[in-house]
Amino acid sequence: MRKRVVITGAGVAAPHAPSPEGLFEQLVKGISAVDRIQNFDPIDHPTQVAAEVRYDVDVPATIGPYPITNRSMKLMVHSALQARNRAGLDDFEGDPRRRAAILATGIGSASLELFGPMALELFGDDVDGDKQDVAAYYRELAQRPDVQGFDDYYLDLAAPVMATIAGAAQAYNTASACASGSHVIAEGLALIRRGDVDVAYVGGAGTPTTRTMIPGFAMLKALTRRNDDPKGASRPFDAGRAGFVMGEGAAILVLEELQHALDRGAPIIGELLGAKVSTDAYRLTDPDPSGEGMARAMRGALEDASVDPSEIDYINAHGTSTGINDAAETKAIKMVHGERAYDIPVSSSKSMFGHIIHAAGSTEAIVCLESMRTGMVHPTINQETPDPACDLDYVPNVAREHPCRTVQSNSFGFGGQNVSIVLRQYEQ
Amino acid sequence: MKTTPVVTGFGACSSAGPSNDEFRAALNAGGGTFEALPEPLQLLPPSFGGVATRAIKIIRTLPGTRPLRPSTMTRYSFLSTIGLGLALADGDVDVEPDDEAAIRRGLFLGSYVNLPDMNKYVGMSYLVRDRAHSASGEYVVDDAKVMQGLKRFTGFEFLRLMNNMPLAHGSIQSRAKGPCNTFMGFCNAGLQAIGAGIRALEDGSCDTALCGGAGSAVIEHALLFKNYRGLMSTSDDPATACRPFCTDASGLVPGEGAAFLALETEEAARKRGATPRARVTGYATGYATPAGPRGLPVDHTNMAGVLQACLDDAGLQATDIDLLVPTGYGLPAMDALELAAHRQAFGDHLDRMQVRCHTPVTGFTEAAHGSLGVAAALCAMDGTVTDGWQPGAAIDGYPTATDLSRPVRRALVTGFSMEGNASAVILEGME
Repeated sequence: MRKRVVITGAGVAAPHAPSPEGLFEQLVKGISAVDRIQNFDPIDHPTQVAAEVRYDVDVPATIGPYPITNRSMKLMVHSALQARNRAGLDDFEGDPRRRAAILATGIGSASLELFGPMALELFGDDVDGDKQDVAAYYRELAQRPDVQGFDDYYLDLAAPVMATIAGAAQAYNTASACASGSHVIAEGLALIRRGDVDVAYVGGAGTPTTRTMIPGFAMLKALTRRNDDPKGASRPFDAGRAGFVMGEGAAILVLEELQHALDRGAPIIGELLGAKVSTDAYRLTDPDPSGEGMARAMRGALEDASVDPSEIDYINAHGTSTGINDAAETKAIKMVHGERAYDIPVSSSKSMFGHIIHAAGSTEAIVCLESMRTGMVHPTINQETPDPACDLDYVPNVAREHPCRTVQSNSFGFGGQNVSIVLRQYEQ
Repeated sequence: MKTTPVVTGFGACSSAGPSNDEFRAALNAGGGTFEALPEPLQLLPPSFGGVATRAIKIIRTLPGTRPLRPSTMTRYSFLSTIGLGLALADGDVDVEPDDEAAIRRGLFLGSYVNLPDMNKYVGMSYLVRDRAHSASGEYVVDDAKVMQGLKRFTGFEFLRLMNNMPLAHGSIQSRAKGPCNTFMGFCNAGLQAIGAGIRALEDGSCDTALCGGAGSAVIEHALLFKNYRGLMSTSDDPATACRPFCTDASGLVPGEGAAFLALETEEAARKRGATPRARVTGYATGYATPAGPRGLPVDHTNMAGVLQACLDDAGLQATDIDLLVPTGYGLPAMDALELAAHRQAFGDHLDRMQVRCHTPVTGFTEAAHGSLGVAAALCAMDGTVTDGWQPGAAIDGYPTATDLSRPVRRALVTGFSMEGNASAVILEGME
């Protein structure tokens, strides 16, 4: 018989708050964390809004041998420690080989500040910017192997750091762009079902709200330019949507084989029934506008979960606020759920905390768990002008009491990776 | 009953050339093509390395590449496109499958964080300095200048930073619409990708799993970072610098490449008339926190554990293995740890088996390294490679009686990272 997988812990550092309850409380109120960027001065930038984490997290200076210095790593460590604590695993002395850490990350947060000081030192201040000698820069770096900052630049150590927190003897660092946060959940589910491990820490982290990444994605025409209305900038499914809002944060879940969790008396906050990954193989930047690849992931997740579509009480949409994604996702939901698609509440958390890229899926999974716990679904805010291509019940602007026994959460990535997961309230 | 995937094709691209034949020839010759790196990379230690082709026309000779635009590719995408294309060609895999077959095709890739063009970043970082501060030597970014500095970049350069872009290119190239993932970060990432492919076949998620790794250590970030860690070879002779398990090894020789496997269920392979080359019968992976943030493993325990777990997964004894393909950094401390792990896992049998290290042929190739090792093992198993590199003055305990001409039925390939992550794969010849 197939192993059942439950969730026994969750931790988050989202733009709204550093806890699942704090985050959900504000989402239910329809409060947007999107604001004019403060991490840097976005003067003259085409996109000047983002959902930033504007609080400090109190994390250890080191985890094992690893110094915890950059913001992405700090947010991840906060979330992983919170998840571990809530799962009751702080003092758990199990076999490390029975635990895994699977983390989705992008690159680190350092950029201009990493290269700039030495460039200034080498080139002086009276040289035209286009004439500096890059070769001299390389030569100097080669002579100064003590250059600090490169560790900050790379996040390949993030998964080992999480593995150290988890006491895990398997560490994976994976990436599938915007689908990453759900993809790691699917990977963890597969590992536990196979019997490779009993416990898997899964999630994502990222702080792409930097002075180069924000304008870089704006150059791709992926970001909104609704700068004069930050709170209204992220408007998934609304006719006025015109690009996503970048967010930052981290979210980690502890997945556990049911019997393992029961044996140690763990708090069970939900069951992960199924997951499915599909690929569009369409274009680098655009999803397949037919929604066919998305629908395959959704349908496959339901099949994997042995759940009939009629059992789904709520869908947490990928809902990015881009023209093509939201229309394609709407088509996909209709393909999978048929006429009932119009009756299922569908909401986009990104309307309030933007797109946290690598952590989006895992943050939204935590939102789903909160919906199941509270019997509330949060709204999709900024629903002002209906789009005929997006004609489902997106829980417009106001939260709703709605019992959620079984929910589906979608994540679709740049590059065509689609992931859908199905969660349910834990029932013996 | 457990599904045992079969290999129906492989592709290997390295500084030896963008073809399996060139890879075989280099393995037989026992030496790589290491030469002075182009400026300004040449200014960084060790100043030489194994550089794979950068000729765009190579891409166009490979299956499935018509929809791809090389201008959208990072180095990793470029290399993975070649490695995957070679595997598709070698396995005669249809790149225009019907929808049903496309949905049953998975793609799993080991790669690394895509990195921005450092030359442009250095230039931009200087250009956007705040003159009010820089006159006194203090570096502060003037945000009002950032948009001007970004004129050096195109939007596509930011798209290319997404770590899944090599996989996105590969899915379009191979029409893989099934399960997928990108594993990043360490030299075992290619083997972790192969492990994911094995799992996907075993659990029935797909019928074909294209899997492998692409990596480059001859890009500026890798060179700088490894120099910063003191890992690079101090030799000044490219021809003899790469010396894993030798007493005079002095560090890494950077290389780059990609290797992919076409893995299928035996049923799917037979159904389409493909000839299975080998079975993949064992896989294991493990992590142990290293001594320091960028230090080496504390000891060889995790590596030895992964070797044993891999043998257990295959249901084999150590004595069943004919060929070992080690990671072989050429870094004395790491080589010693790896050898200790092999000794623990194989005991005296290590002296009786073949040990074939591909690092002197490819250089250290980051996430491609393990998958290139698998390709090297397949070449030995099919009898096309019967000679190769052996250490001259080997470190104590290294098996010196290796006979590379002996037939190989079962091979074990390792990918042991310096950061504490380790994986291994076992291949078995078809009966």
